[in-house]
Amino acid sequence: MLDQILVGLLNVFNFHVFLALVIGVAVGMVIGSLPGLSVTMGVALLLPFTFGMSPEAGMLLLIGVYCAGTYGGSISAILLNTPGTAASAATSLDGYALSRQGKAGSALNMSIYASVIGGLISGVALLFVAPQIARFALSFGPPEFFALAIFGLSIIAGVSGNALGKGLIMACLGMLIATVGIDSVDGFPRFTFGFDSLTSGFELVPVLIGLFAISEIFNQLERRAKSISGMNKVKNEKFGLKELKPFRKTIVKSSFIGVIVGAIPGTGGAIASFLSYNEARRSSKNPSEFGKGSLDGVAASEAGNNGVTGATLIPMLTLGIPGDVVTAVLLGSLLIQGLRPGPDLFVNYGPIVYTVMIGFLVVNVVMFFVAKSSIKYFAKLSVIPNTILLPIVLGLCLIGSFAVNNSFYSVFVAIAFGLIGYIFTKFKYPIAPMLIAMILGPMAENALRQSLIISQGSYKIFFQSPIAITFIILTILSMALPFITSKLKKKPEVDHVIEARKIGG
Amino acid sequence: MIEKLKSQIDSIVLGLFGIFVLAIIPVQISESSLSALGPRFFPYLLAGAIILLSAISIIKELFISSTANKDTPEDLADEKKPGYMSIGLTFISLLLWAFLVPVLGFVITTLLFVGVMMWITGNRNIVAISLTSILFTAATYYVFRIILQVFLPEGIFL
Repeated sequence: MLDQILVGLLNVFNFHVFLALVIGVAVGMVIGSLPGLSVTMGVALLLPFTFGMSPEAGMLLLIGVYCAGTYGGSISAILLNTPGTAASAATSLDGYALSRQGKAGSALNMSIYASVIGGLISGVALLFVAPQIARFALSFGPPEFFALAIFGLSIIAGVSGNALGKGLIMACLGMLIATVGIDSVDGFPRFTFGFDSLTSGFELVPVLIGLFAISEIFNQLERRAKSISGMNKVKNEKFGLKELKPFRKTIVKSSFIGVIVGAIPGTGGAIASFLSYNEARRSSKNPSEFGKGSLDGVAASEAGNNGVTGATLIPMLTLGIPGDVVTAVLLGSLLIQGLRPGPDLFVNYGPIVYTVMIGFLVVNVVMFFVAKSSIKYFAKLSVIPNTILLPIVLGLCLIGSFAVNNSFYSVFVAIAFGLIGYIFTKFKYPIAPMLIAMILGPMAENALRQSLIISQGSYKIFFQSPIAITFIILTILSMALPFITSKLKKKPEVDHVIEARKIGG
Repeated sequence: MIEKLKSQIDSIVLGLFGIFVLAIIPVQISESSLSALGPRFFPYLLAGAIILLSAISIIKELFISSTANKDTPEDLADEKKPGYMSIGLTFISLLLWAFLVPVLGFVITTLLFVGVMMWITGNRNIVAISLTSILFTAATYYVFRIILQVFLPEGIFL
């Protein structure tokens, strides 16, 4: 294995391969930061350019777009509350709050460090334990997916803050909105009202743009804010390894969450980032700071979503099963190059595979340097006057919504959700639960119904799988523990009061 | 009591929405006998949950809370009147963009949109408005149409 790693390392630094890698990173970062342009679109758009390239150069060009695009979503999430990808939605919860405090530089720095570390950890997992992780991932069936979805939905309690009731209502609304369209189990239309455009339901990207970006712009207009940060100068913030040290535990833990979630086909960066965010909040000494500008929140979300990137390649390379839409396109690229994914790939095309895996690690390093050199320019966006910035951002929102599937239906969806998001935030309803529910709700419903079809209506199926039982226990613990802990913390105070009264007579 | 009800307008509206959804489910969703839980199950569950949560919020406010609910729309500082007019004009501009692009084309509509939006947000510098509109439209057209090959409606011009 060591000799193949060395061969891979040499191949990565071949001029054409390295150039393709760098171009992929640069393009990916731009595409990921533009609302409405998904990483999938970026990878699909560059796919034809790889036909004439060597397999290594072609794959690393696309992987560069994938990794940098996943990170790039955090740039607009932090600066404009407009997640470039669904995977960066959790980043905007704290990242944008930091921008509003004039700390955009810190947030962007944390984002790049966490993303790169998450990516490197998932790259190491890909290189050394891919077959073992693939076996674990394949053991996920409908009961396990249902339990995972319920565990994911339990984070709604965390992101709702003090407004749990309102958070739950938003989650129910999100799941209800996700039911619009064709039911994927029975094939019946639901809530289409006879409109053809509604048979495909609501695409996530226009909803994201509306709920986060357009509604925030309405909010800025209402407040007549001069700029996003309210300041005319970016704070000069130093951010190096010393500043990163207190967050290392969060970053590593979130990266591992990203690796596990990413290896399971059908999940993705959005689920990993919210799970990581919730775990960081749960284990934090200052959970109340989350949602108000906590660097821990940014670190958790970004490490989680970039931890997915290498892990999604595991089932694709080892078993030929794409983990999500992006890896499906990457799988297509491999097939076009004449490489058949699966166990034989490592045997028959070892040098190419190891070049791709080593190249994945190099992509993250290159991404770090490219992003780090651009951060001070990105941070200045937060002090641009709103009279210039808001029209530009709105323009990008409109074009981005249209570009999703070349349809004005998506534009109207984005505008409608912009209004809905604005009205709900006026009444202090948190937006994040709606987004989480729209992502996880369909997974929960489909998995539940498929499980009951398999078990012929018996709910025992959820208690026959160790993985499902584990997630159910984790769900109960994550919801019960904060409640129990807060009761236990109050108890010594009560005892103290009783003792004081006894002494006083 | 009336004041407390007024402060719960959001819960009342959501509760009514839940009832509306319950009422339209039989019309909008066919039932299936193939699976244990049909396509109506989740919509019923969610509509019921919305009604229940809204009812709990209203009951809490009416019978348990001793002070008026603080979760009313944010009050802004007196020195700045809220920009509701800007929001309304922006909303209309967004809709107009979506309606006019197929007719006038991406370039003309976006040029006008950015210019109008800068005016709405309070910019009165004609040079800044013109430059920003032209540069933004040109840059986005080049990036989306030429580099990314995303189709943009041409309308009467481009």
